[in-house]
Amino acid sequence: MQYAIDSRTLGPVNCYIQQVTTTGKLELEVGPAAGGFVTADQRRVIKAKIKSRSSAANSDKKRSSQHVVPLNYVDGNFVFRKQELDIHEGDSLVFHLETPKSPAFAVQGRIGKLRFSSANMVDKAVFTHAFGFPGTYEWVDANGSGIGGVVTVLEHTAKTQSDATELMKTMENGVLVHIVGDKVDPAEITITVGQTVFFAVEKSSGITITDASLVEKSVR
Amino acid sequence: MSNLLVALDESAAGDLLTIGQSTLGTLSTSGNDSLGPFDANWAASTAFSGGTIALLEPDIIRIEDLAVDFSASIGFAIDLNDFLPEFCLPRVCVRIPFLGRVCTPRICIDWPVIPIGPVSHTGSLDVTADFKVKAEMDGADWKIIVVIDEVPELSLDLFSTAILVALTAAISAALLLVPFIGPFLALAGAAIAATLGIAAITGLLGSILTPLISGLEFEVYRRPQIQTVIPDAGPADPVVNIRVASLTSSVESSDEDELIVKAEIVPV
Repeated sequence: MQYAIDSRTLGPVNCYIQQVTTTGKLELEVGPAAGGFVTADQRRVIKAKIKSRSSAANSDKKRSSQHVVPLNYVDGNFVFRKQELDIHEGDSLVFHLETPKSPAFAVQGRIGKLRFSSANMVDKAVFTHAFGFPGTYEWVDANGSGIGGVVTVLEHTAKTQSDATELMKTMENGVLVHIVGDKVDPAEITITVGQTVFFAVEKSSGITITDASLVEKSVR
Repeated sequence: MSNLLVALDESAAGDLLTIGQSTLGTLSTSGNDSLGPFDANWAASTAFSGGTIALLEPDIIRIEDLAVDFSASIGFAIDLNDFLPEFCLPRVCVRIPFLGRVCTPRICIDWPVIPIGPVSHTGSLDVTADFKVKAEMDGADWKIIVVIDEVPELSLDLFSTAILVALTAAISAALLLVPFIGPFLALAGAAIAATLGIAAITGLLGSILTPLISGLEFEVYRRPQIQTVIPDAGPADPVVNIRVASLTSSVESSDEDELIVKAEIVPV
């Protein structure tokens, strides 16, 4: 189910964005979302140093940057194409699959005592999902916090080339769902097929954004 | 060497044909072949019934209005990448309170390969064809078979039209299961439909059904070469074994057309 909503399994229509809020040594590990035993040579750890904001170039001193981390799946491993990242405190990392025919992935990392994971979003984390099918999607936290919401996706089909252009234009409009602790704002949204929803998480105990149909009722 | 002669008129030959059709039963086959630009998997079965016999010298049995009841199912896969432009989700940006403006990268997605069908269709063709009658040994038996001589042209356009309608419906249903197809639905439907004409389906249907008919033979007689006969003498005379040394068949016309089967027999 590459197109299911589940922040635990990041597929071709997902991104995971994490803001790094402290300086120090960053270690990132990207692996298959399905988990299972991963041998030492299959472990892919990306290392980088998170520098202080004051060390950034003058143009970047006041504003944070976004670093895209495109992942390729090569010979059974997720490979990060770029070799070096120049990251400063307050910047964000955007993980996504560059090769569509890849298994789903998960990312986890740490900077000193600060830890983060796409499968357990705690703070300053964003999961994005582009909805490919019409329907009504109830999402929940598979970790059982009780939070959740509903995304209604309307179907629009193009009959003419100008319809198609208009629909493609609509896809450029993202929609934000802001989750702070156990507050979801807005809990219900309506979009059209192809639009992307940004689930931004702050001050959480560690949640997932998961289609309710994938989660046992006792957990919801 | 002695001869035995059996003569059958067209009515009796028709009775033998009914036996042959029943013996043949249903023929089934499967395979794959091209359907326009697609590689289609298919399965088909045929059964034969009815028909009126006309006997023609020297060895032709013409069967008129032979009913060929067939069932054909056709399935194939469509790689949408062959029909649609590359699809990329655009770069999408939103303003997030704790991050400011954040954007996803442009993400390109392969179109899937979608399975179509199998779509099934049943129909019945009325065929008139010339058959030749042949007698030949098959192991320890003699058999007489009626073998199609020339495959008639099959009139398939009506069935092709129905199959095209069913395939078009199956394609439309399959396209709705493709993610992000909305902007491209009309384009995909039109592009695929343009490659699937009546001619392509008639071609495939012909290549499915023609082999089933081109090799058509009805077995109308089978008996062991060695047979036991009771002499037409007194009750004390013993039974006699004879061997059918040769069996020939032909059509002869005198006051009426007859199928003649001639056997040469020798004592064993």
